[in-house]
Amino acid sequence: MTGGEVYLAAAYAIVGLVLLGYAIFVERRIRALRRSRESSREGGRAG
Amino acid sequence: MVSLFVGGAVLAVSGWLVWLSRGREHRGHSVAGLLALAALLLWAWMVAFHAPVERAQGLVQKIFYVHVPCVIPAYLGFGLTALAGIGFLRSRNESWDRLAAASAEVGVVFCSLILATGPIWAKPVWGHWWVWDLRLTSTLVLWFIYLAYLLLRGFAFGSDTARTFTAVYGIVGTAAIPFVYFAVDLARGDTLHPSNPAREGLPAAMSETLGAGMVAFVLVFGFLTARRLAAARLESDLLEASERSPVG
Repeated sequence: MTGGEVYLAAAYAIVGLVLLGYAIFVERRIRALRRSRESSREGGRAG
Repeated sequence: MVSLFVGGAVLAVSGWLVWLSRGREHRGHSVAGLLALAALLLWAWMVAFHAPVERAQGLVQKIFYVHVPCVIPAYLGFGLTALAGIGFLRSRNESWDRLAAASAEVGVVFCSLILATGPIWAKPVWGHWWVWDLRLTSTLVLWFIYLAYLLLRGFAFGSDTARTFTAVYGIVGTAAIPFVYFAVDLARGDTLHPSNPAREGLPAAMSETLGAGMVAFVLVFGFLTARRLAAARLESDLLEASERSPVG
């Protein structure tokens, strides 16, 4: 692998990983919030 | 070899787009995800096979097709933050405030990518990871402005005064964008950074690949902002519910 290929691979890998990481972070947040909403609704019904 | 790198990165991004597109409660989000996926695949194919290998820089020049397209979503995110800030100040409607927060966050992600990919390209071409010239420094300042915006929102969450202040801050912050965009002209030759690609008269295959990248990244920006907005809406619903529910 030449020097240029290493830099190229690093740039594309960083973009892929950052976007992937951010999307996973947002989706996990949505799931956690949905779970909280469900549990607060269930709590409300039980109360 | 280049197709392997580009293909790998795009497969990773495409993988999550397909995964995220399953069972969305908003049909529009699934459509946006699939559109972004299609555009990313086309862009990857163009980077690997359509764009020529530049003679002077060689393969490393192909970083151009991922570095420059990150600029549009970053500016779009910050511009949308200002527009949503104006919307909030005029109507006091919380949806505008949520849109401002979501677009600023996604804008910061893309601005971080500009700042990450730039030095990776600069090192083999200029011999330095970073130089304190006008374009690079002003981009870093722009990133700090919106990072501070997000921190400000994090610290001063919820009150109407905080929302008003962050809306004004978001609007004022966009004043830096034209300065960053025209930084190369303002430097009057005292910069290593090339001028804006629109003025460089690129060969057709290069400008087509760049255009495909811009479209793909704007679609990814739209998808991520929509998802971040969905999260902000849920946060707001939960906050309202907790305020309504009796204490103890």
